[in-house]
Parts: sequence; structure tokens; C-alpha cells
Amino acid sequence: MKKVCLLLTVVLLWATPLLAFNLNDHVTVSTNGKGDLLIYPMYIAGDGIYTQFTVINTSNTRSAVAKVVVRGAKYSQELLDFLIFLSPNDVFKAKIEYVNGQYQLTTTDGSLCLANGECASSDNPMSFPLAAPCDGQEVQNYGYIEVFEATTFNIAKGEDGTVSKQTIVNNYAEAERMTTENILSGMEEVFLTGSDYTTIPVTVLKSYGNNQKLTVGALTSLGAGSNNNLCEIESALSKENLVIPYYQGSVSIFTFPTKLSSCPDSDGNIVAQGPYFDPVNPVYSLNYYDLEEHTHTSQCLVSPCPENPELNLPDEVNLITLNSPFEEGWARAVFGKSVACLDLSGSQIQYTGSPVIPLVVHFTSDGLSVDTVAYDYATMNYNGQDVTGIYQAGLAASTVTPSEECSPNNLAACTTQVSCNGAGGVWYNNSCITSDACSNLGGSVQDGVCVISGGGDTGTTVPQCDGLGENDCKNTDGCIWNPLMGTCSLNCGQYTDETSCNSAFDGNSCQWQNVLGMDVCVPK
Amino acid sequence: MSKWWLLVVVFLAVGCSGIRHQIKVENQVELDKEFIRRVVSYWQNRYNLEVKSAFSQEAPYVQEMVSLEKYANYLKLYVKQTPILTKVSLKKVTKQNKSDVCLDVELFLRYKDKTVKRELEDCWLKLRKTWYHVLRNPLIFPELN
Repeated sequence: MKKVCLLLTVVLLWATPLLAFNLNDHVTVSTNGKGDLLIYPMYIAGDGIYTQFTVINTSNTRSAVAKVVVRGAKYSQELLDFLIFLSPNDVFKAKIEYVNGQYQLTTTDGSLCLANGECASSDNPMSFPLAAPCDGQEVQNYGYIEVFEATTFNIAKGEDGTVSKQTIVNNYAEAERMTTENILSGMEEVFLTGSDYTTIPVTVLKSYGNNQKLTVGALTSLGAGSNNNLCEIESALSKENLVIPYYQGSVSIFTFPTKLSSCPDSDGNIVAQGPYFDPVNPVYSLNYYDLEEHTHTSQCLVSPCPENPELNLPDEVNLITLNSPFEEGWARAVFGKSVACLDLSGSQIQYTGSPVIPLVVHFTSDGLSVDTVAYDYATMNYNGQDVTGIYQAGLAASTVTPSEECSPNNLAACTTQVSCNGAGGVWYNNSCITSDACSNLGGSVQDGVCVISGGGDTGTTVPQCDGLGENDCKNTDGCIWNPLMGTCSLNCGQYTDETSCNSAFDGNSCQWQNVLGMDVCVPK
Repeated sequence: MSKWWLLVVVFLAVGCSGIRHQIKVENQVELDKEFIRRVVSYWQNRYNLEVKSAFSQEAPYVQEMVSLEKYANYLKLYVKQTPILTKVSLKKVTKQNKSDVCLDVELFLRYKDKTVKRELEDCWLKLRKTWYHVLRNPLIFPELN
């Protein structure tokens, strides 16, 4: 009986559109600079330039283990990875440079310890060359860096008031369950040897929630082995418009850490991982403004874009010289692509924008600087509810419910037959629907109630969803609205046999699965 | 043989380039003497802020795509603290064929209170019997990537 009840709960959850949901249990961009996933959007080395970066454990009590992954700019090829062991208040520092004829990471920081227990120090500096580029096409001289917090520990400090590295290493070796906290922060600097330098802002994400033991050598990538998949990460990063101030010759940096295309296969094909990149690369338009509101537009509406490097974003880290007709001003970059994907709970997220990390490099006779840019949040729906800005910023409300006002445009909020009929709806199976929806069900309206032919057994009839408009679809049990396709189709839970289930497409794609000993059709 | 080349290059570097400071050249590569002279001359021009001379030694496509003004600002970035180029060390050839060469170069720069070594992979291409420098800096000149 318990199994049946639980199964029914599972089936009902899949079959019923979610009207309330929790906004506090997914990854977001940290607003206070502390989190459990750091993305350094660009490193660069060579031509007398090196990049220095730090990882900071901001906790006064918890030790942290993190994995650093260095990736190439073209295909996110993993060029280097290693673990760092941070005691409370500890900082890890390293640099990427061209030395002794190779691109390498160099550190004297004791937080980097190898499997044999050997840790770096000023007496024992360690250098690790970046991996050779795949197929000779990836680049080593620039790319980006990820830091995944693997886990944290509450380890008692020693008599000297610190936690020894060996203790953290040992604890991690024995750890079976990962416990992450939003305690990491970081900084990145680019140096022109003996000359100038600038900082690069770090993107900090919080509540990413790694849940797997991270090791060196094994591939670690965004959305794998964590409480958030690529859909959720892209949604957190999504932006619709960018505000890019420029001088003549300024350079925009567009980093797409969710693309994860890896190296081309034997046929030269590249397969991106993030749902944003399915099926094609991003297109965008650039509107230039000068200091007097005059404007000029560069636009690419259909991919492939014309031969203008300004409008093409083929790589993971794209550097674009802003070729404005004006000497100075600002540019608006608009990303108009709509993406629909599922989070780990199976809820549908749809956003219009791009999961880009943007920066701008100003280079004038006065020197070099790298800055963040302002932006608008991507327009976003979560299971059909508008959560623009709420989702990305992880704003305060723990639940969001739709408007509770019963009206012709919101029949779902009508909870009595009287209010339903008053709003122009028809009462059916304790919910309020339109008369069209009643007809689609094969019923007729009698005294404000939808009566189904053949006895009105409202619990067993498979609903007719094809052809329903958005409101009717949302008001019909067993139907699901696909905002991207603009169509209404049967919810997976309505399919009762494997063949029809596996070939169904209700915007989610369905699969036949055994749940608690019973075969049911659920979203993929 | 290499010591003889060293003396020749130093003489050429001092006599032909009109530099203000004497530069020591360490040559560990087996390459054409004219090419070596060109490499040393180029780096002298850059650190002496002889913008037009250095610019004329960049590959033609660089001269076409990059403005002289932007190039000048780029050179100024590296001499902000007025370093003096004291030594050029040609360490190793990393790539070589008939019309292009890359080599590991170390530039020794003296500042007020320290000497700094700048290591880079320096690439050159040959067009119509003349060697040109291949400028590569994706942060400042992404258009050259």
C-alpha cells in the first residue's frame, strides 16, 4: 500500500503542472564574492605576460579541499588539474607563464600537495607544464580556470593555531561524503613583466554543491557530479543584454564555461555540452553608441555569421576587438537566443539570453585595465512561471506562486464553481477550465459544469491536448505546455504503455522506467 | 664558431643600430647571421621606443591591421618603468622551415633596482627575402589571432 501511495505521489507530481517551487536550492552567481565554484574567465601567458591567481578560504573554522582545472580557450581542453588543500583562512597562489620554452603553472604554495604527500614550498617550488594541445588546434597561451570546491572539514586546529596540510590530506583520503560550504573566494592578476599589471574579476558561484570525490587525472567538468546540471548553471549565468563601455580598440572577452566542446573528433566535428549551444553557436548583435547617443548597429541574424570577427563567437574564450565607428562610448550586445532545458528535478527552465561571462579590456596610452560589464538578466521561466532575475540572483522568496486572483486570464486560480463561472470558465473535476477545453475533452457544458459523455467519469479519460492554446493547456489535467515549441501535448504520466511513452515528445521527452516496482512513463 | 658569431653580432648590434646602450647577445642557435641581427635590432627598437622602426619590422599583415597609434601604446606598456635592454639570449629554435622560424628568446631588462628576465617564444616569417616579426598578443591584438 505504501509503495502504491508513493508511486501515485510520484506519478501525480509528474502529471500535475508545478505551480509553486523552491528558488533556494540551485546554483547562483554569488553577490558577496564567496561561493563553492570559482571561474577565472581568462588567463594569458607569453609575450612577456603571466597570470597570477589566488584561491582564498574565507572560513575561520573550516578547511577546504578544491580542484583546480586549467582549460584551453578554443575547446576547453583540460590542460592541467590538481588538488589544493586549504586550512582555515588559507590562500593558494600560483602563476601561469611561459618559462623554459613551455607554458606552465608554477607555485611555491604549500596548499598544493601531491599524492605522495610532497607539498610545494619556497624551498621546493613546483612547476607543471600545460598539456600539449589536442590536434595542434587548442591553445595554451590563453584560456580559463575553474576551481571546484570538493568538500570542507571542521578539523581542530593544532597548538600553533593552524590545521596541518597532512591532516587535511588524510581527512580527504578517508572522506566518503562531500560537504560543501560557500567559503571560497579568489583574485586574478595579469602582469606585463617588469612593467604594468591589471586585475581580472573572478566569477564566483555559490551552492553549486559538488557531491563526488574529486581526484587528479579524472575529468571534472561543470554540471557533472554536483547538485546542479549544465541547464541550471547556464540559467544562473544567463544574461540578455550587455553594457560594454569602450574606447577605440577596446577588446571584449566573452567566456562560455558551459560550452565544454572538447577537442574535435576524427571527422573534425565539435560537440558542445551546454544546452545553449544546441544546435548552433550563439548569434548576437552589437549596437554602438557614442557619447552623444548616436548609434550604429552590427548585426548577425542567421548563423553562420558573415566574415566579421566582431560577430562570431566560435570559441570558449572569445576576444573581440570592438570596431566602433566612434572614438568612445558604449556598446549594447544583445543575445536573443531562447533555450529550454530541464533541471535535475525535471522542471523546465526556459531563458532568452546567453550564459556568457563578459569582460572588457581597455588599452590606451595610459595603460591597461580589465573590467566587468553591466547587464540585464535573461528573461526566464521556470515551469511556465516568470522568474526573471529571481532565479539568477537567488532572491529572497523561497517560493513563488502564481497570481491568486481568479480572472478570465487566470482560471486556474478559481477555486469554486461560482467564481469559475463568474470568470467565464467551466467547472470540471474540481478545477476551472475553458469551454473549449471542455469540448476537447469530449464534454458539454451543463449549468456551468463540464459533463463528459458516457457518465462523466472525469478520472479516467485521457485528455485531448493537441491543438489547445496556452491557457487551456495549462488548465487541463494531464497536458503540458511547451513554451519553446508553442504546443500542447500529453504529460508523460498519461502514457500507459512503453512504446507510446518512448516515442512521445511533450517538450520533455519521456522514458519508460521502473519506479518502486511499477512501470511508469516519466520525463527524461 | 659560436663565439665568433657572438662577437660579430655584438659588433653589428652596436654599430648598425645606433643604440644608446650596449647589448650583450647570447646566441645558442644555428641560424643565419642576418636573421639574428634582425631579431636583436627589433628588440632594441622596441625598448628604445623607436616605434616606426619596430613597426616596419612587423609582418605586413600586422602593419595593415594594426594602427601605428595602437602599436605605440602597446610598446609603451612594456617600457612604463623605463627598463634598459641589456642582453638578448637566443635559446632554442622551437620551429623552423624555409619561411618561418620560432625561437625561445630571453630579454634581460635592467630597472632601477633589479634585473628582470622576460621569456617569450618569438616567431618570424620570411617574405621576399626579408624577415618580419610575427606579433602575437591575444589580449591586446585579438584580431591577429
